[in-house]
Amino acid sequence: MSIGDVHPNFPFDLVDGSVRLRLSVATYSDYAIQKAAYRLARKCAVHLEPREDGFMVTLVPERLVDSDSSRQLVVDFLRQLNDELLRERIGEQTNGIRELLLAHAFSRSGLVDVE
Amino acid sequence: MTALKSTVIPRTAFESEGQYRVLPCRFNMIGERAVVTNDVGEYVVLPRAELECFVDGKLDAHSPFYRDLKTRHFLLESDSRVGLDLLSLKLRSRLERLAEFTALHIFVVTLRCDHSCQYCQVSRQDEGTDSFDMSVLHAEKSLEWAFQSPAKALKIEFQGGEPLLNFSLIKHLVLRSEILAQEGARQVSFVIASNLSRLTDEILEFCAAHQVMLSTSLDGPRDLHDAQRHLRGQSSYDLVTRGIHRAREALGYDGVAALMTTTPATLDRIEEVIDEYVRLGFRSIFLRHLSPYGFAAKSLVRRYGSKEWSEVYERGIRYILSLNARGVDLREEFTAILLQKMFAPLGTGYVDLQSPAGIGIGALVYNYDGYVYASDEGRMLAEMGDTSFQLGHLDTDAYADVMLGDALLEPLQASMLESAPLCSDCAYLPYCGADPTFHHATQGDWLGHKAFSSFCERQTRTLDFVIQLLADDPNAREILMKWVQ
Repeated sequence: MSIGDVHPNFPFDLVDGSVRLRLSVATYSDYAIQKAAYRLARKCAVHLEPREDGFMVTLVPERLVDSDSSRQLVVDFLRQLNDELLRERIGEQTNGIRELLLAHAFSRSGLVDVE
Repeated sequence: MTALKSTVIPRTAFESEGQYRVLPCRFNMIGERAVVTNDVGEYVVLPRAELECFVDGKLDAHSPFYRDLKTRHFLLESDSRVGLDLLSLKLRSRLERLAEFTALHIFVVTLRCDHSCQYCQVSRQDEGTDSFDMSVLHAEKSLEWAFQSPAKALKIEFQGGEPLLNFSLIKHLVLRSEILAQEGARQVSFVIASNLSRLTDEILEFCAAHQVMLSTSLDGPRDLHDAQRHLRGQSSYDLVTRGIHRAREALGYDGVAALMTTTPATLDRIEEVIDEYVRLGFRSIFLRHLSPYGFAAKSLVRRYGSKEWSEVYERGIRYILSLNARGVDLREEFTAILLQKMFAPLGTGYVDLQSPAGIGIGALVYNYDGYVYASDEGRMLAEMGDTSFQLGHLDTDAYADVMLGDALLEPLQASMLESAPLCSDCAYLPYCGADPTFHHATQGDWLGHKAFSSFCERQTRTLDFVIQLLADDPNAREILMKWVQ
């Protein structure tokens, strides 16, 4: 299974029209969770509650959702989360090179004050 | 022979070893495919699984994606510095534009206008009231500011109202600019944005003698154009089409360009609008959506959203491509700008799609009353009472103070895509722009939350569409690539 795939039976609860799911810190960084939440801001508000082994995530849609649309919301959230994880991996490998490239591109350009 | 043999390196020596480093890149998903881009605007489309293999350093060196990723600077083999040097050189070329800032200078020579267009974004004034004309003193000071800009090639655009109602000032400014350009070894070009209703032989003779181009508005067939662009007692369509023919005779075929604005009435008729441009012999059309500035425009823009706009845009592009396939020479300008950002080494100076934003450093606007604005849209906001983009006044402020002042630097810094949430991770960053005026007008924030931004939604939809056309439709790709040249 690719990291981009979402497990069809990922467990979640539907409580008072909101969706709750547990995420493990072993799999997901809090930064990735926050970025995925920001990305979904148009669809729902996201509440993160730290737990011993991870986070309890509550997705609060603007309108009450039924079980079908709540599953879709979970799928959307996890897809975004998996994309963020992949972005983190790219960032880990390339951030140093990006700085080097920019420094090289601006060297002797007159745009950087050398003093 | 032995000596010759020793200079020939076997082909195997150039084969990829499969060991590589991933270079900085961003990706977006379109369905199951990833669009991966880098800082110099190169892109590759590949399946998600291949992207993950690539990031994990496991992509097969014989895979066709490997070759694409290598030639477009997404991976670096062995210890060679050549790839990095080349990439930084390309990045430097792309950023060079920053050093030569403010090429476009817009002079609002009058607010007077004879039209009352339904989407008008400025508070037009009646023809008789010359208190809404720019003074010679302010015109002279504006020119001084324009020629202090570092850009070697300046473009001076005359706007209104209807600028031809104050043609004597335009003449004065053109003649004075030519002297200043000669003294300072600068290039200067001129455009008048006019409805052409007041075009005379004298004006055309002057324009021809001084290489002044004309830009006009044409919203489609007669009934659509006249319904949107009211002119008391006359048909605006008749005057503008007559003006286009006369301008072509005097200035050459490409001496006059036209722009259209999409209103709710246009949505079902985009093919008719395109046909009208073809019938009148235009070789380009700019499919433009409404901007949310001005009272009337604000109510019109609420009647169609990003989704409706994208559907019309896509229909329009498909129609233009079908015309091209039948031999009609017509390109769509917004798509051409995006393609230039994707394929031309220097990108494009199109003011609305820059990061840092184009406000102030892409264009400056000198209003009829001496106030200076960071953008044309900033001037329109001021007409609605919001002076956030008013940088200063020609009577009281100095050019350097304004260009280094907080009124300009704060929105520029706050809106940069490279440090913005969502944008900094978006594959379309190299093809997009910060638009602090739009986000300030719609969200009250220079940067805006992009999940709620119709600008972002429109850009994403448009680029998804263009990239899919390029990837999946070889005939469309062949036509689109001609638009880049």
